[in-house]
Amino acid sequence: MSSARLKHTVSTGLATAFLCALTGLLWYFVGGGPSGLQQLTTYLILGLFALSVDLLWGFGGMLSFGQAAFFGLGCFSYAVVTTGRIAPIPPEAGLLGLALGIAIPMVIAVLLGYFLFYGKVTGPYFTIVTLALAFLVSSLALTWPALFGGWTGIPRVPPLKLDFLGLSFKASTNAFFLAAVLCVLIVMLLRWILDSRFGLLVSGLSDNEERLEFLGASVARLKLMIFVLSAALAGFAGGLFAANSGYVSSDLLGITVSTEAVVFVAVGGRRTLLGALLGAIVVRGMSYWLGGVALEYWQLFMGVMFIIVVLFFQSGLLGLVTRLSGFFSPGPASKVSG
Amino acid sequence: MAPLLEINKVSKRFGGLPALDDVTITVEQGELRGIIGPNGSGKSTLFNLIVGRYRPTSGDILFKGRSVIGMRPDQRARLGITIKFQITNVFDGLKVLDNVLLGLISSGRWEEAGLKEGLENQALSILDRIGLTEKAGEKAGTLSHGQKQWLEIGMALATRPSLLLLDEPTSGMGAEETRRTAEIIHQLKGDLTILIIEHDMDFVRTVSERITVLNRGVFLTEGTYDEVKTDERVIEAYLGRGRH
Repeated sequence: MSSARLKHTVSTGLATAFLCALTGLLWYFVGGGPSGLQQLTTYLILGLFALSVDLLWGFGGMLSFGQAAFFGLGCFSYAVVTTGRIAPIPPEAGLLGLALGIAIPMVIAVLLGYFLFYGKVTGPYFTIVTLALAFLVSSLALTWPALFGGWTGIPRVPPLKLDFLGLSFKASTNAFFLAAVLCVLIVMLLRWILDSRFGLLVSGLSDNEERLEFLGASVARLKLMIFVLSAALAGFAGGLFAANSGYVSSDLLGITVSTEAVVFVAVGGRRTLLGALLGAIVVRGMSYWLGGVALEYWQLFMGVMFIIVVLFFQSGLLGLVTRLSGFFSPGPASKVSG
Repeated sequence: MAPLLEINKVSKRFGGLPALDDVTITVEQGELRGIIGPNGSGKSTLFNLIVGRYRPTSGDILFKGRSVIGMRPDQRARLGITIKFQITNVFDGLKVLDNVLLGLISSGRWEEAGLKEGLENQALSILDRIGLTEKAGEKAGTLSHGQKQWLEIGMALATRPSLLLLDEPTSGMGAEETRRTAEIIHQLKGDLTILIIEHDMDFVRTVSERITVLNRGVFLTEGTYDEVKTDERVIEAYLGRGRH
């Protein structure tokens, strides 16, 4: 059982590495240049954010439109610390900013999640509360310009530097490799977690919550754990995003960004991990390309793509690929080991 | 020693409608108790009160001498109260083996033999008891109705309960499946205390020693099958309904 789990984790990691490499290669052949590579890094970072949505929605069965609140808090944590906005810039500011960007969303997720899950706020009610969360946090940010920079946001956010390791991710290639390595590691970590007993409980939760509760699992605690874990990942992705883009503003906290991540996951394929990354790369890539062709239509395009996927390919692009490959090599249905 | 389960003057109203009215039932450790009564007599309501899906309007429920009122269903399950619902309720999208594993993991009542490999073996041995070993790798959703019922009994067993509630374990089953279910229940005898709601009177007679009869939310009588069968009030409850 344990070696199968290791194999599964490694193969998922390899698939992720392959996807990142393929994306990088494509860009190289298209001749996108350093600014193109920076774009690509953004896609991977948004892919990490989409992973947090996949964890919460795909695996946990909780659809949230407030995930950008955690992502955005990650962005601002990094930006505020590294630009010395409220306190002098500390040593290892980048690392500290990233750490705060994980810790602050986690604390908020614990507080909010505790009341939501132990108060039995589930299903569509949960989703509505998360909508309110996105609205609340992005509005609050605007009322506090000293910290969040108001309508103008925070410019000139420095790229990530890890002085104690002597590493700088200022160069676009460095930043891309960092993002790719993090994608691989985080996908592997999530795979490892989801293949554990905890992961089986998560599967049970999304399959039949009531049955799980009557078997003795604390459904509220389980949901809280998923919620906090996904908030941490969203915040981490936010910190990386700020470091890569160099600019943050309060709309990063809002509903549009949240919705985008949900679209990434739906398009790429839920419950696959890799699908979240794929969705971010494909949707963002297409909209970037479309932005050059017909700027005013890319959101329309995203909406249409979302509808098509929901109507016809509910398992997303990755599901489509799996089905096609299954068509060409009809393998045996998976048998249980032992 | 205190009885395993004491239902103490329990009433449950839905809006103004009384589903259970001042019911008192005591179940001793190791009993295999049948609960019968015409439709709407409050049997399933009683089970739902015991597992914590509903909260009684009044009265108390004691398990191992301790009140469970106010406890969540998962807390009661971890104390050792488990139910197989009337409408089959399994994890359709998960493998049969994983369904049973979830019983073990959710309750956390596997510790003693809780080695990593031991857990899967425990699940397999439960599948063996309910005769679903060959189905281990299949999705639970693909099982037949009868097999799902057995699987749910298996999941309940995986939580190593002291009290097992079976709500119509043979509903929708053919004669052969019913016989098989009786066998499974007979195997469990002695290990744990079982409460069974059933409509099939033959089945009730074969599996249970004592029978409690409810009628319109009220405790009617209690006794052996023969005592209950000849009780005037029971006959009236079952036959008199059509005649007012």
